[in-house]
Amino acid sequence: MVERFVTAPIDELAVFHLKCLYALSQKRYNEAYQLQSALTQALTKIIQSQKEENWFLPVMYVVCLDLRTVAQKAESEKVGNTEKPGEILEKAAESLMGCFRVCAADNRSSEEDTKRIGMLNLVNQLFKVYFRINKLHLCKPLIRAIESSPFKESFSLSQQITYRYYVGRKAMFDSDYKAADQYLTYAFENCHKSSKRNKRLILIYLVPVKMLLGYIPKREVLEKYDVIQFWDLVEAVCQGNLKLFDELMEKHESFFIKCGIYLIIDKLKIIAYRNLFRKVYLILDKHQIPVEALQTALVSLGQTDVDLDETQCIVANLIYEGKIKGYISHQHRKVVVSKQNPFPPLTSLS
Amino acid sequence: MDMSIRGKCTEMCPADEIKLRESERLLHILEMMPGTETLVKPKADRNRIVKMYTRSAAGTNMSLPKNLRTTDALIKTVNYLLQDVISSKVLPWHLVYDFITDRLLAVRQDMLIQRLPQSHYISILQPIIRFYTYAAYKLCEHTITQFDPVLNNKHLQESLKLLLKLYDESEYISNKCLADGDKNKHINYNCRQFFEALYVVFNLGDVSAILRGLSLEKKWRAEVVDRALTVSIAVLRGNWYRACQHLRKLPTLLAAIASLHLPSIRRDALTKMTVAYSSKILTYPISALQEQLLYSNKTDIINDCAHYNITIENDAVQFLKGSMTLQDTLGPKHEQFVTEKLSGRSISSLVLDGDVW
Repeated sequence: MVERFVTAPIDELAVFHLKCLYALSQKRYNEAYQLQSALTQALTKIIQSQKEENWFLPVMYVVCLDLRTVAQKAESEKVGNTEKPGEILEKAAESLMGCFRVCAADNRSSEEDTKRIGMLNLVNQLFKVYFRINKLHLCKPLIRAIESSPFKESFSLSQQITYRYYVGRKAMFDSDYKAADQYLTYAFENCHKSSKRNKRLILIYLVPVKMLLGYIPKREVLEKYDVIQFWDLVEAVCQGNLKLFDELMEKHESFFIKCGIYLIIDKLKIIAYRNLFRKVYLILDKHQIPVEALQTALVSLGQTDVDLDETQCIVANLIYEGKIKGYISHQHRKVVVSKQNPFPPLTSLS
Repeated sequence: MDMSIRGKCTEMCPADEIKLRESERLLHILEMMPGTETLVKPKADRNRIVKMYTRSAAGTNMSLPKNLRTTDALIKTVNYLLQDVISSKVLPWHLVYDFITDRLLAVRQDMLIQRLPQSHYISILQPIIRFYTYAAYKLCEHTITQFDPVLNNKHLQESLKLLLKLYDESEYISNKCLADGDKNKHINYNCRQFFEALYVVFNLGDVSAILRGLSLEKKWRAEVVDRALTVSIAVLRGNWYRACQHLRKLPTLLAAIASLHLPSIRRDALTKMTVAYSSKILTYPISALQEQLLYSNKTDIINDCAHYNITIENDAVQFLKGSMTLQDTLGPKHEQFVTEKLSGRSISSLVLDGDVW
């Protein structure tokens, strides 16, 4: 039947596609995945055989997107008790890699016909899978492939935004906050203003990164993009209110962990320490601050197990990072701060 | 349908291998029949010979059932190695270690080829991992020709990651089974908390290890896991004081493996203190530093400071910005507080039965 309308080898694609749709309508997700996977393989063969042309790429995009979403569905609806978690998604990633290899290897076609222009779309699909199954280390070779691609600037804007969102998250995970800021800022600024959901997703990562670098978000922005939960955190950090900070950490623990920002939020505590100590300094209005005064402040804000030595350890870290200018005298148990600008603004630090 | 291969060998070593190694004189001294060691061809002691590790190579069939050991035989092998051989006094311990590691590798290979059921796999893997952990500490002062820490860490990391994966899978499956009303298949894993903590402490300061620990279900977040996380997060934050305070309180094997990170914790602390306590007049008493950074004695701390070019005068450290030279981190050493924890515990019971936590 299909053969009458489409010619080989594309007829195969149509057949698999229809079968897959039928399986989905019957809620047989695993079967649907198997069919979509066979479809992807057939498609890989087709694009491989097409030399010097890339008009088929849009079809590939759709097929690969479908593959990932069907795999996600099959994964969550898995019924058998012999499969391993993440197995289907891992297999889907392998199929996507198959397409990716074909595109990446196409280096003989002319610039307008090259399939290499399709790489970024696939990389983004792969990122989505790898982030879901928590295999971030697999992203590295993909990033390298894109960064060294001569078409780096010619990929479509939407794909570039997605790409930078994931690379930014990866950089954040690797504690490279400068790079994370750069990538995420690009993603946020270029993301279309009506894509509120995407903008919100970007902000979940951009806000903590920015805060760590000393920039405080405005309440309106947080409200506008429905991430007002961060506002309490902003206040806790700005006021040096460690008690509130700890409470928020506990309250939002699972949210922070799920988004993978728990440890970066935890780092904001260092800034909260700085702000608290600055307050103590302003209240005492002296350049020689007794360590005891700082410790008292810590204890009064719920850090009850912190003793003098640990207080000094915290201050030492702040001095080392340049967040406080001064030195500690262990003999006198005093922190001696600089007469000029003892607490330089965070944004002035490299 | 179960397509996996099932071993048929019920001894620690397959018969073919015994014959071959006797005739080719490939017996290890620990496997020879007592009294025959000096012969041209020593005889194998059937009760002590253990299957060697061999790489898979073209032309050899690794999956012949008669050469693969059954679960019972594997358990017997591990018990023999970690109960009897481990305390052997015939050879220096690093040679005993070489023998055991090789034979354990063969055990892991047998399990892998047969794709043993998760519960068996888990129960055999656990003592193996404790052995690697113990060895990492015990042999940390040896020269590279005697003991290769990188290789041992690789064994430890690989086995540990596999174990955690098995925990996840078996939990996933048992949850499914429970949902299906099939409660028989529920797998009992009683020391998971310990190994979760071990993973955190072994990879101290590592973000993904911390995140794994944090996202564990509440029932696995035992006190020992929380303490391991506290240490690791403190290291990440640069709070050496808190890290050391809690590190000291970890159970024996965890304290031992964590102590291998002390040189880098100390280096980090000294680097920061050189800046924060920088003064030409003021000093920092050695005794306080020794206490904070868990140094076993004064000599160790003096040696460390000399290594980093930090001045000590009259039992006090003189920190001066820019004076510290950032040499390579010193190698790990045996630490007094770990030695104390280890004493009074036989190695084999520590490795086979595990820590008290």
